[in-house]
Amino acid sequence: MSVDPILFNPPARSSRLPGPPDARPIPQVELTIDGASVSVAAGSTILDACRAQGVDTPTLCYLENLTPVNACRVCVVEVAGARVLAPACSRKVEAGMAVQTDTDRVRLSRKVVLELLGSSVDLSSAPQAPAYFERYGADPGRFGPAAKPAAAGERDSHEAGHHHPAAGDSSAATVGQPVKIDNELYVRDYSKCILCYKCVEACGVDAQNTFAIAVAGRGFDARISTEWSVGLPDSACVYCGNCIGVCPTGALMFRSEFEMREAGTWDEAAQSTTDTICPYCGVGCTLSLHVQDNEIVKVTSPLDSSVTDGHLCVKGRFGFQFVQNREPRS
Amino acid sequence: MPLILRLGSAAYAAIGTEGSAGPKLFCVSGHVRRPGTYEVPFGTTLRALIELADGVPGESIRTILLGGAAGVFVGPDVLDTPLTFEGTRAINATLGSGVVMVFDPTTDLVGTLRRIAAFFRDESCGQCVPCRVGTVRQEELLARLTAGRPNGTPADELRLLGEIGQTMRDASICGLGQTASSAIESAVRAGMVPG
Repeated sequence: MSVDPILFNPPARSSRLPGPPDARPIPQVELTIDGASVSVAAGSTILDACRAQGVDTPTLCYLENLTPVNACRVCVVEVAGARVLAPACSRKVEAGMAVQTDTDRVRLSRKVVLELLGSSVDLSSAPQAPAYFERYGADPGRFGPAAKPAAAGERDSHEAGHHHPAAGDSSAATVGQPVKIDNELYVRDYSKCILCYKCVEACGVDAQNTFAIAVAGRGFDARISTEWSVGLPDSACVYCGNCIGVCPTGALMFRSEFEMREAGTWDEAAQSTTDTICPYCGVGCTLSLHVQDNEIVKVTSPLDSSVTDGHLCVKGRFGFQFVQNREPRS
Repeated sequence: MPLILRLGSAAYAAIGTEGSAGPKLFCVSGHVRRPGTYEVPFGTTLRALIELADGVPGESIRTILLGGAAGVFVGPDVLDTPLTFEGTRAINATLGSGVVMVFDPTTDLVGTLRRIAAFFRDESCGQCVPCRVGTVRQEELLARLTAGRPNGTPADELRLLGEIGQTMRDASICGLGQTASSAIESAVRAGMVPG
């Protein structure tokens, strides 16, 4: 029988069933960290290598489930042959790299970065701050007493390049301003914002793809803003709360947590955390319910959850009130 | 580029010095009789360049800013330095943008430094902490020193300025933050800042 040349003739089937692809070894890269040889998978960052080696490296803008932005610079390390320090969180390892994590240069930069942040931002609810400050001997008071906070909306109206010259009155400029409370679910206290970009990333391509917030302004006026600085209810925000989940300083906070802190009743030591599965849809997100005095006070999701990657939607994050409506039904 | 095509690469490379080939544009400004952009071969001395701009109208030179706002203040003692990459490196300076700004003793140098500090504060994009906050702290510190209201002693302030400078240089993301303290630190080294 002749074969019609126009028609596609698939090749004859192999009698062998397809198996799993050959296991290929992951290429390893050799480098030294503080003089000790380390071998890590190619494509790892210096931070990965430090952690594999047990070298504790401070981070603020880094989070496992987000793309590194290397903006805070608290993780800088010294790489032999480099003119400047390198951010461990984003710099990929290279063969033969010699990394030093505790030289005078590294310690000075880490200390001053912490002091610059501590003198301009309220770090009182940043859990890791006290240990970092102690470890590097950081003293934010060296720049003088904090200047008067801005009035509501003042920083939002700053135009790029419209600065006032430094007063010379010994005070240090801060990002201090009143808390933004414009909805029932969460508050934004930008006095506590270190501009780590995590909320922007979580709202954007790293998780939610909503793009309700971005960095506006430049220099010291740079700030997280909705479009035209509108309140959250008028913005594109869908209240997934993933920005709260990634915020390292408590600038973004559940309204429930904020009000309890204001009332002085927030007591983390008295809280328990229970993992459960969100009851709303079939995705099956892991919820960590933070409970104090038998009331759910906030909801998170584990960063290492294969379903959520630490992120939730408005229902899982905020839709827990029905659990604790104890009023009898009429 | 047209010069290379007209002369040929060998003749072009013969201009200037071994380490810095070709001619170079310098923007000479400040206290000189004829400010302007001058094209001279690499290796021309600072003194010859200033003479090309018809020299200094006043009696003497207090300092020269080499390389612009991100550059380095040098004293009149280095007037015979050849303007090459290697020559300026030898005096811990830089050619930078090619700016040669001459200041005579009548200049308000601290005011000039505060202007440079304000420039970097305004130009910081705000992405990384060392530059976003460091440029503000640097400007505040100079303002305090000028106002005669240092936190602690003026020597404490200069030490702090040095730490801010080194952190901006070592830990900023880009060249702006990395050089935002360069001119100011060189001015401190040259004793131009009260302290």
